[in-house]
Amino acid sequence: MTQSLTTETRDASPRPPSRRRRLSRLVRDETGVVAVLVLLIVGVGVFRPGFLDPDNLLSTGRNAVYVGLMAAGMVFPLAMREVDLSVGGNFALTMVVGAVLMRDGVPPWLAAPIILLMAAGLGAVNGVITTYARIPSFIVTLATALLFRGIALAFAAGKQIFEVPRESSFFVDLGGRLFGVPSALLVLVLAGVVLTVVFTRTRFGAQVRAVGSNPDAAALTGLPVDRIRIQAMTMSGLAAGLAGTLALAFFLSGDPTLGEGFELTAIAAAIIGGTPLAGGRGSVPGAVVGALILAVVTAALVFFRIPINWTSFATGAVILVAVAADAALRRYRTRTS
Amino acid sequence: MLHATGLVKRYGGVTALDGADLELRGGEIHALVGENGAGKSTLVKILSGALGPDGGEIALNGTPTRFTGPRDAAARGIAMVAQELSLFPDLSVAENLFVTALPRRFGLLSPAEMERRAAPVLAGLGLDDVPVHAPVAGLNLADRQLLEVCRALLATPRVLMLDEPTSALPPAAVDRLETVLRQVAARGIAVLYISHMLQEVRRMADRVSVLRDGRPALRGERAGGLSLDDLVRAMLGDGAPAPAPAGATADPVAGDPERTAHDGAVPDAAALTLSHVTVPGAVTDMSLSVAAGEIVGVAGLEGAGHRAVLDVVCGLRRPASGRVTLPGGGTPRSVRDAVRQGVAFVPGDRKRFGLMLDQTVWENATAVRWLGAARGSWWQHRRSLRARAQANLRRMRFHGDIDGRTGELSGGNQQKVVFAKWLDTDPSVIVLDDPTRGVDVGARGEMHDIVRDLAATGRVVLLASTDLAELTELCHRVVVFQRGEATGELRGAELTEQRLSTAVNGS
Ligand SMILES: Nc1ncnc2c1ncn2[C@@H]1O[C@H](COP(=O)(O)OP(=O)(O)OP(=O)(O)O)[C@@H](O)[C@H]1O
Ligand SMILES: [Mg+2]
Repeated sequence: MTQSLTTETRDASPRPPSRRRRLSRLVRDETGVVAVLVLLIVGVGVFRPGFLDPDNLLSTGRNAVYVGLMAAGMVFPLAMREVDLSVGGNFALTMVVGAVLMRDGVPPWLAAPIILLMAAGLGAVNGVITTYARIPSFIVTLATALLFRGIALAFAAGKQIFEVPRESSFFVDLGGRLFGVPSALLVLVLAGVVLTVVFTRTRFGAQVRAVGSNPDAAALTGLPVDRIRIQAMTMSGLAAGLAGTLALAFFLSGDPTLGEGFELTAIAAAIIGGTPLAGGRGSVPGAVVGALILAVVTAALVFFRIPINWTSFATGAVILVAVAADAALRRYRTRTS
Repeated sequence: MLHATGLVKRYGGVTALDGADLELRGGEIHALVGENGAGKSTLVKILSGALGPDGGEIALNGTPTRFTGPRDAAARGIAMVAQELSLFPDLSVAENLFVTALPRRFGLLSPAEMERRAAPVLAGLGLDDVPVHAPVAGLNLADRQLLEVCRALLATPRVLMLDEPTSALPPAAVDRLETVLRQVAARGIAVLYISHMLQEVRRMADRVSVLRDGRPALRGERAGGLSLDDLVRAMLGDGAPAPAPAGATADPVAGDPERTAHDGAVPDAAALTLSHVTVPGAVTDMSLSVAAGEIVGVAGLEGAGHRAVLDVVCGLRRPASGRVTLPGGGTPRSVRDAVRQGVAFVPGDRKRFGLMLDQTVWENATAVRWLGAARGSWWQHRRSLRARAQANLRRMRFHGDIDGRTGELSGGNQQKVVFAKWLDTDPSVIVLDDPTRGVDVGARGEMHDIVRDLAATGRVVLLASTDLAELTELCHRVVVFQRGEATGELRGAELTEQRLSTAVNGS
């Protein structure tokens, strides 16, 4: 067999040729979505040059932060055939609890880690219920989404909480800009990098992908499937909490009604970014880029003066086009590889 | 009837077929053999329309043909049973059998009609006691494999192609399949079948073709004139040293001095013990102790309970009463617990239990040690993980790209990956359930050598196999099960295929 020969020779050469191929495959996995994003931006810019104004691009990016973070976190449950529908509720609850703590005198920079921990805990609760009650995560998080938001609404008595120390650097810096760039956007990039590394280069990431790829085989291989599931759901909760914290810093208030429907947009962003619901695969950078694509589309509608009511329609169209394009690209690639 | 010439098929840079020929005639059983990765599955996929060739011609009854897809081929009387099973686990047995053409009455499914048509075919293959309306997921691998054959037969084909139909079958089922195939051939149907069991091939086939590296090495020779040596030489090429094919030597046990010596020794340090283990519906009050360095086989008919022994040792099932003690002194409470205590489990049902087909080969080959037992760094050091995978796979004559997707490997090479991933953990107890399913003779020999080496260094090995030759070649002793009880034990010179077969089937 010609193949066995290559296996032999590969060892002799100091740099296996397949390494380069793998690297290029890694990069190429995201090229599709990145190309879509760039084309979109350029395309809109051609007709509405004002769109390319750096300030506009940065604020468009800022708008993608919450969904982008949720999508990046969502990659973990999705890659192991789970889903987290509670990120929107988690987001709102984090915001409200943070605002309440700060209103009641907890220093903002102390409140922030507390609410992040809480958000991670909420994610873990999703994972624990899914695991030990043996209920699909879809159903568990459908319920906890309502629970979380319900608690947020009750906590805030249905109103926004404005009484926060606005002069704190938490609001000034985290809610403002750093080096001329919205801080939230920097956090998104940083979180994206960290989660990418966790997903692709650590044992935990590999375990998540292994379970998603073949749950039976993973269990028989001795993987702690339950623990991995809980950890993956915790990741998703933590990412949603980070989004809630950033939102609190930006809006200078805790709003229990914010973030409704974000979970579906986040899932859409993850799917656009190349994380199939079938599990086993996923891309954190892709998910972030997916969120950016959706934000660009929403912003572009404003530039073209298309009524805001068309946002949902446009989002739906983008999801279909992006996913179809990605699938076509993949087919083309396997044919020519 | 079906005549292919000069078929070429490339997967990216890999040439799977390079001018393969095959001529199938009605009324004959034609066997196709070759090493793992020789291109056998690729060839039948092309002949059944599942793959398009990159070159070459197919003629059906003398007229050149191109199949547009499996449906087209099926419509023209070609049926295929694929190597990797393709049943729908959540559909019932009956629904699976008629999945492409469900019998209907007044537009509704007709379970009665399904059952009526399926019954004789099922009975012919010994599946008469399988619940027709129960989901397929509950069946064992052997029954599922036979079910696929039934499905192909029910399509009343003119050409029937079976890709390793016997790899998971116990001897009795192989015999029944043989009978059925003979009847089918007697009706003038052309039968092609792929197998790595060369003895079986010589017995069953009228003609034999051999593929080597995608090229024909033997073209439809009469099986009667071929010796095992001829076959092995054709498979491996002239220069290759011929490994002893399965069961070629009369009785390898008797000739092995090391083994005889071992048999004389009293197994003082029992490394693995099962004491009074009862698993409801499987075994009752079973006791067994295996010394370090021993290879012990368990054999029995389907449902005799021998597999339950494997299950309790690797933590798949917990005994209702009794105790399993591993070499470290612990009890396997779950699969994960067993893995952490050094138990390795090599299953034959690789698609379901063994592999992540969409991940790379090296990721699979390192999955137990790095992901399951969580040994090594939490950081993915790809270079060293790859190197380990490569080293383990090389020992088994693995042919393939370790950076490629595991699903793209040939069936036998996939099985080698399953074996390799367990080798990687340096286990103290090795549980093998049909470990060489679908592996060619050469690699089978290598895998057997590895198992012997493991035992020689003080590991405990438990083996179940549908291949009696594997049990007699490898084991120091074989415990025979009937109806949930150990009814006998064969060792040393008594351990022959014939005796084993008699013991298993009951006196
Ligand atoms: N989908 C695929 N993509 C890439 N390569 C493939 C694919 N399927 C098969 N191959 C390659 O083609 C070659 C022939 O494979 P094939 O499955 O036909 O072998 P085989 O003779 O059936 O082996 P086995 O006895 O192990 O089943 C192998 O080298 C295999 O890696
Ligand atoms: Mg094959």
